[in-house]
Amino acid sequence: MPRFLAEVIPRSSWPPAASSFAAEVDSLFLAITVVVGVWWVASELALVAWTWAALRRRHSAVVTASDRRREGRWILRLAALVLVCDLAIEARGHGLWARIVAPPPRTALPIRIEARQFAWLVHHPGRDRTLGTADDIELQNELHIPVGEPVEVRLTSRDVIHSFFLPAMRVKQDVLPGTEARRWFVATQAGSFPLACAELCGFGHYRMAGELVVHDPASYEELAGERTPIGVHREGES
Amino acid sequence: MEESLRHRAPHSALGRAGVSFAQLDTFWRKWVFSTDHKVIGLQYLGIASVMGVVGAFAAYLMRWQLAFPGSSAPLYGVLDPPPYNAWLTMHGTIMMFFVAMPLLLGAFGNYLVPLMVGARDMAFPRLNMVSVWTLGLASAIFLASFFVEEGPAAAGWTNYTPLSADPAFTGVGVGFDLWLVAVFVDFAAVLMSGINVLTTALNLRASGLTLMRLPLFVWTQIVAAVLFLFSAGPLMGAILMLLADRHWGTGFFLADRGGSPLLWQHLFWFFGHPEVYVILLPALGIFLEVFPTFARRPIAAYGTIVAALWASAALSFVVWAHHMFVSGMSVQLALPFSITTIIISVPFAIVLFALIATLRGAELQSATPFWFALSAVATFLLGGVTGIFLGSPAVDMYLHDTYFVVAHFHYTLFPSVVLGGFAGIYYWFPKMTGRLLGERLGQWHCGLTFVAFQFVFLPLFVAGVAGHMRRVYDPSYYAFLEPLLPLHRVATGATLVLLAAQILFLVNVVWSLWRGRVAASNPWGGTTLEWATTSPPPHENFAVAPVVVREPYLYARAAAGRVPNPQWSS
Repeated sequence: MPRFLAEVIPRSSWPPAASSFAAEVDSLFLAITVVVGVWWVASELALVAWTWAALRRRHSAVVTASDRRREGRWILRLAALVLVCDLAIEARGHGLWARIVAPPPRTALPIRIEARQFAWLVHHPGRDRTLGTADDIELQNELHIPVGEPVEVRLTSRDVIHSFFLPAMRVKQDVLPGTEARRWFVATQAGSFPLACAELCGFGHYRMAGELVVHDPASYEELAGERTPIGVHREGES
Repeated sequence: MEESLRHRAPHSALGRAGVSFAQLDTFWRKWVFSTDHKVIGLQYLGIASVMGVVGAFAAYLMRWQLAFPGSSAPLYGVLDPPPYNAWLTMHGTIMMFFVAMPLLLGAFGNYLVPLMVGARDMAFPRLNMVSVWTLGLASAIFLASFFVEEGPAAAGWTNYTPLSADPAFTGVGVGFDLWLVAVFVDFAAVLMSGINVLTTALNLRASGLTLMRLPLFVWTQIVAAVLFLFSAGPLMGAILMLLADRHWGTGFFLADRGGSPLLWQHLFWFFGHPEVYVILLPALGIFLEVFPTFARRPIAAYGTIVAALWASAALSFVVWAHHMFVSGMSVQLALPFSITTIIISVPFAIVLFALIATLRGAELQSATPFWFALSAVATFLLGGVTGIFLGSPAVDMYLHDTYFVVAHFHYTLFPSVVLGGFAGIYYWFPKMTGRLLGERLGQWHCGLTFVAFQFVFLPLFVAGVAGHMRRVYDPSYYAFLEPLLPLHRVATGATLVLLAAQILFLVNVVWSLWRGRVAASNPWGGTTLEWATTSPPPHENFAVAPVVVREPYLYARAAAGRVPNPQWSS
C-alpha cells in the first residue's frame, strides 16, 4: 500500500475480519483482485503501448485482411482465457457462498431483530437461549452475542426495507417487511463492532447505527443475568 | 417497397396541406417543429445538456455534503437529510433517463443513423418529432417535481418499495408521483425513438449497404433499440402498479396488503440491467467509429464484435438478480445469476480487445475525439473488471450497497456517457455545425476531465472496501467511517476540478461556432456515409442517393500516409 494511502486511511480503520468466514471472503476478494488485476494491467499496458507506437508510425503498410484474421483468432483465444478465469472465480466463490447460506447448526443462538425507521430493536433470548420466554432481553441498537458460537439473526422490518450490515462479520442481509430473513455466523473475536443500515430507508437512514458487542463466554453469561428481562422493563422502546 | 420509403419526402403531408416550404422555413419550423432527424438529434442534445447541468449540480451538492458534512454549500446553503436524499435520487434518475438515453440514443442515434445508412431521414419522421416532444414533456414533468410541496422523489433512482409506496415513509407525496409519471413518459419517448432507429437501420439502407457492411455504431443502436423494446415493458408496468398501490388501494408491492416488496426489485432490475447496456452499447459504438478513423486502419474482428454485441444483449436479460444477492430472494438463485453475470464479461472483453487490437499497426492521427475515446476505454476497463467482484455472491454480500458499487458503476457509466459523449461530440461536431472544435482547448478539456474523474472515484473504491455504505447523508455519524473523511475530501476536490473543466468545453463550443475552422465534408478522413455529404448535411442529407461498394474502415497506402477508402462509390 503506497504511503499516501496509508496516511489517509489508517490501517486501524479497516474493518477487522472477525467472523468464521470473514477471512475466507477477504481471501476470495484478494484472489479476484489478482486475477482481474493481471487482465486489467495487461489491457491498459497494451492500450498505452500500442497508442504510443502508433503515434510515431508513418508511411507504414496498411493492415491487410490476413492481419485482421490473425487478430480475430487472437481475440477469440483471449476471450476463451477470460472465460476460463471467470469459471475459476465462480468455482472458488461458489463453495464459500454455499457455506455462508447453509442452514445453521441446531445449536445456533437465535436472536430476533426488528428494523424500523430508524432503529434496530434487538430481542435477545436471555439465559435460557430460547426466544419468547420471560428472561428475554430487548435492547435498542445493541446486539450482544457470545464469541465462538453460531448465532442466527432473524430479521423483520416494521416499515420499509433496511439492510442489516455487520462489516466486521462480512455479513449483510436486507430486511423486508412481511418476511423473516435469517442469517447466521460465528464471531471469532470479542469486542465491539459497528452495526449499520446499508439500504436507503428514509431521511434518517444515515443515523440508523447500532453496535455489535461480542462477549467472551463468561461476560456473556454475566450480561444475560445482569440486564433486566423483557417482562420488567423495555429499554429504548418509544 | 424499400425504394418508395427511401424517397418519400419526410414532410410531404405538410406539402399536401398546401403550405409552401418557404413559409415553413421560419425559426419555429426549422428548430422547434421539425421532422428533420438532424434537428431532432440536436433537440435531444439540447435536452440532455440542460438536464446534465441539473444532474451535475446534484452531484456537486452530494459531494460537498460528504466532504464537509453540515456546512453551507456555495450556491445552495446547508443540505439537510431529506433534500440530500432527494438530490441523490435526482442525480441518478436524471443521469440515467434524462442524460444518458437522450444523448446516446436520442442525439447521436437520431443524427447519425439515417446519415450512416444513407437515408434521407428516419423511417417515420413525424413519429420522430412526437418522440422528442414526448421526451420534452417528460423532462418538464420531472423538473416540475422540484417545485412541488415536499420536493422531489427521495427513495433513490431505484425507487425501492415500500419506501416509495407510501408518502408516510419519506415525507414526499406528489414529487414521487411526478417521478413515476415522468419516467413512464420518458420511456414512451425512447420506445418510439427506438422503433424509428430500428426500422430506419433495417429498411432504409442505401443500395449496397448490406448488414455486415453497417458501421458498428449503427449495429450498437440496433441492439440497444431491441434491448429497450424488450426490457422497458416490465418497468412501465411496474410504474403503473406502483401508482395503483399509492392511490387506488392495491397492494402489489405492499406486504401488509398481501403483496411482495421484492417484486418491484425484480421488475426494476429486469429492466435495469439491460438498460445499462442500452446506454453502454451506443457508447461502445462511438469508440468503434472513432478508433478506426484515427488509427487509419480497419477495426479488428468486425464480425466477432457484431456477434459479441448480440451475445451481451441476450445475456443481459438473465443477470438481473445479481443486484439482489442479499435482498432476501432465494439464496439458491444466486448461483445461476452469478454464473451469467461473470460470463457476460466475455462479450465485453471481446469488444474491448478488438478496440485495443485496432491500435496495433495503426498510424495514429492525434485529435481530441480519439483522446476522449481512448480515455473512455482506459477508464471503462477498470469499471468492467470491478464488476467481477460484485458478481461473486460471497464478496458481494460485503460490498453490496457500499461505495465500491458506486465507484464500479461510475467507472462504467462515466466513460460511456460523459467521455463517450464528448468523443462523439468532438467527432461529429464538424458534421453537425460545419465547424471544427478547437484542438488545444479540446485536449486540455479531455485531459482534465479524465484525470479529475480518476481522483473522484478511485478513493471511493477504497472507501467501499473499507465498508462505507452508500447513500449516507453524514458519514461522521459512524465512528468507523470517520477515518475515511480524507477520501471524501479528495473525491470532492476532484469533482470541483471535473466540473470546472467543463467550462473549457463551453468556451470551445461558443468560440468554435463563431470562429472555428470551417469543416470540409470529411475532416477526419472517415469512411462511413455521414462523411459523404456536406457539413452540415442539407435537408434530406444527400444530393444523390449514395451507393455503398465496400465495408467500412478501409484505408489505402498513399505517399502522404494512409488515406480513407470510403464505403461509397465516388
